[in-house]
Amino acid sequence: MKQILVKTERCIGCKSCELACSTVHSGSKDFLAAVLKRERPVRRVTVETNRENTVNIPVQCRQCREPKCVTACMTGAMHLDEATGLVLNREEKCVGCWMCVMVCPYGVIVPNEEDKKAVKCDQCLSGGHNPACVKACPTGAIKFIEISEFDKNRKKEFLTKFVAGEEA
Amino acid sequence: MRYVIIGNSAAGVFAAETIRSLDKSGRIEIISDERYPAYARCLTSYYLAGQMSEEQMMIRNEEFYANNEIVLNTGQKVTGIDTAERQVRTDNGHIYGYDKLLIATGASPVMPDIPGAEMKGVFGLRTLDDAKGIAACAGQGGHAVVMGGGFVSLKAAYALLKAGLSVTCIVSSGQILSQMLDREAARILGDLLISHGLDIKFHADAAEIAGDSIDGEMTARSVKLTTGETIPADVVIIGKGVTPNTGFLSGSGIAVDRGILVNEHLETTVPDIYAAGDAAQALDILTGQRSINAIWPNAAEQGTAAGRNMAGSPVVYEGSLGMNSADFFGLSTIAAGNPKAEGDEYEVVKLFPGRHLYRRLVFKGDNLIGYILVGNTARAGILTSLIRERVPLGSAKNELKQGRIGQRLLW
Ligand SMILES: Cc1cc2nc3c(=O)[nH]c(=O)nc-3n(C[C@H](O)[C@H](O)[C@H](O)COP(=O)(O)OP(=O)(O)OC[C@H]3O[C@@H](n4cnc5c(N)ncnc54)[C@H](O)[C@@H]3O)c2cc1C
Ligand code: SF4
Ligand code: SF4
Repeated sequence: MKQILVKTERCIGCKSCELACSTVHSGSKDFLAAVLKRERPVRRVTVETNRENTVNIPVQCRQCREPKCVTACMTGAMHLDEATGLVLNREEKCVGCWMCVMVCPYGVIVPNEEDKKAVKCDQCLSGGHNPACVKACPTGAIKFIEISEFDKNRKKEFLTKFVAGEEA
Repeated sequence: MRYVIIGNSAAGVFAAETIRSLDKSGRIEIISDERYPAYARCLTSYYLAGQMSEEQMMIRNEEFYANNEIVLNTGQKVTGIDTAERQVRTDNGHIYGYDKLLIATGASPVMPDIPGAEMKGVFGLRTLDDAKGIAACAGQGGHAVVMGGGFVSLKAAYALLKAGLSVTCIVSSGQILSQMLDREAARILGDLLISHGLDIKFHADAAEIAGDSIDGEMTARSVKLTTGETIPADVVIIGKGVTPNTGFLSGSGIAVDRGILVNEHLETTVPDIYAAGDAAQALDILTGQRSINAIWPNAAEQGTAAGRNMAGSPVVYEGSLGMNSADFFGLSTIAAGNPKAEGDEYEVVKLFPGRHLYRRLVFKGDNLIGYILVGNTARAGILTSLIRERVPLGSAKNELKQGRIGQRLLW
């Protein structure tokens, strides 16, 4: 499976990824049109900056191997999809109880209060599995990298990381 | 390998799934005294509110049991376990032999010892059948009395308000949700519920349920309070807490305290017999003691860990954490850890950043040990993680005290 990782030294904190994410997940697929139609696009990635203002990291779902959001979900909506290995939300089953929000260690599930649905990164699976944030990043800081299926331990380690290290 | 699982809910189903992912050929049998495939007990209040059908409450699809080759035996109650013969007996005379056994029988509502509690129209709210029974008595415009001010009571009261009933909630203490919330948070939620029509009687208890004989059956008609007041009731819901379902274990040699005692592998005092979920008394992360934090996430995680151990892939259970999330009229509230801690060892910070917004943070030394968020609960999980992982806060503490919750708290 592939994972979204970041070359932190390249991220300048421009938030192009945030904008691209909101746009691709809006009904209009166009940011201005979406805003004009009073849609409130929900983004699933947030650029965070350290206290010293020296490092920026776009943060989105880590696709955990032992996802806390799945065990917390009391409706069976949040699940680990066998076919893709991704953690996905069956929105038709989601009731907006925010049990998943309460436990996601990375704080990356967005509670969409209007629709009462938990929203999170699906690596743009519905749009051809080609993440919009990766395409939008002007400096190439966000990478979509194949994680070796063979080395299970390494995979686990990589999955919970945000940062693309030397090996990648 | 023969695996038998008693209980077809959070703990039982997550265990069965985990076992099947590790053991493709073993025989897995689930026994349940209910008559449904696994459903979300937590959604029974949504069912009462008319927001959800029975089908929508199922936590797995129809093919789940067949696809995973799990045999589901519904409508039978386990009455005893013979640990020497490795057999489970049920009330309809079936005997199930096991190599590994999981007890995931959950809990049942505690019914009060007051006159009239056995009448028709008086319910606990635990099962889908309870919800169906309540719905049958609770027509629009009717009157419901809910005993108790805890989480399940309020969810029930909220649902019945939404279904168009007038609802009175009887709370023996001076505040609602006294296990989960402090006075400040409870007041915000209480005022909101009251402004939407919920009638709350504080410092009161039910003394007696009175009724009429309808078709030869005594049926609840009113609730008399300790304060002398009488409240009309078409339906009475009891939410005075739950007790683990362990009665069938007496004489089995399996040690039971409040719940079934389990070790770090979720194994009971009898080898090859495990317990998980609301029935099990397992390690609590914060206290280091064995206790019961009866919520769905803990049941599912314990089921998963027990399943691994049963299927021969040992893991140590990391421990449970008390926490809960409630949402009434769009106001989200989340509390976790030990949010009500008071005293010299603790540092408590209370923030009121706006209308219907409240944050309470409890620190012990350099660690966060509890929190309450009312309104805007996004990213609460970061705080939960700070508690669970005992992250030393250092300079992040000041940031947190100002109410800023970001990923970088973890860096
Ligand atoms: C109305 C309501 C709302 C709730 N809301 C929330 C919420 O928002 N968030 C949250 O985290 N938790 C919530 N909970 C709590 C949550 O439902 C429980 O923590 C969870 O269901 C525990 O799962 P379990 O598998 O341990 O046991 P249970 O769900 O209680 O399941 C027990 C199983 O064992 C079976 N069983 C019991 N005894 C026997 C026997 N002798 N023989 C055969 N079978 C037996 C039962 O049929 C059932 O299948 C709520 C509970 C209720 C009632
Ligand atoms: S939402 Fe959070 S807990 Fe769930 S898989 Fe993503 S990072 Fe992990
Ligand atoms: S908000 Fe939705 S996805 Fe999250 S736990 Fe509740 S039902 Fe599951």
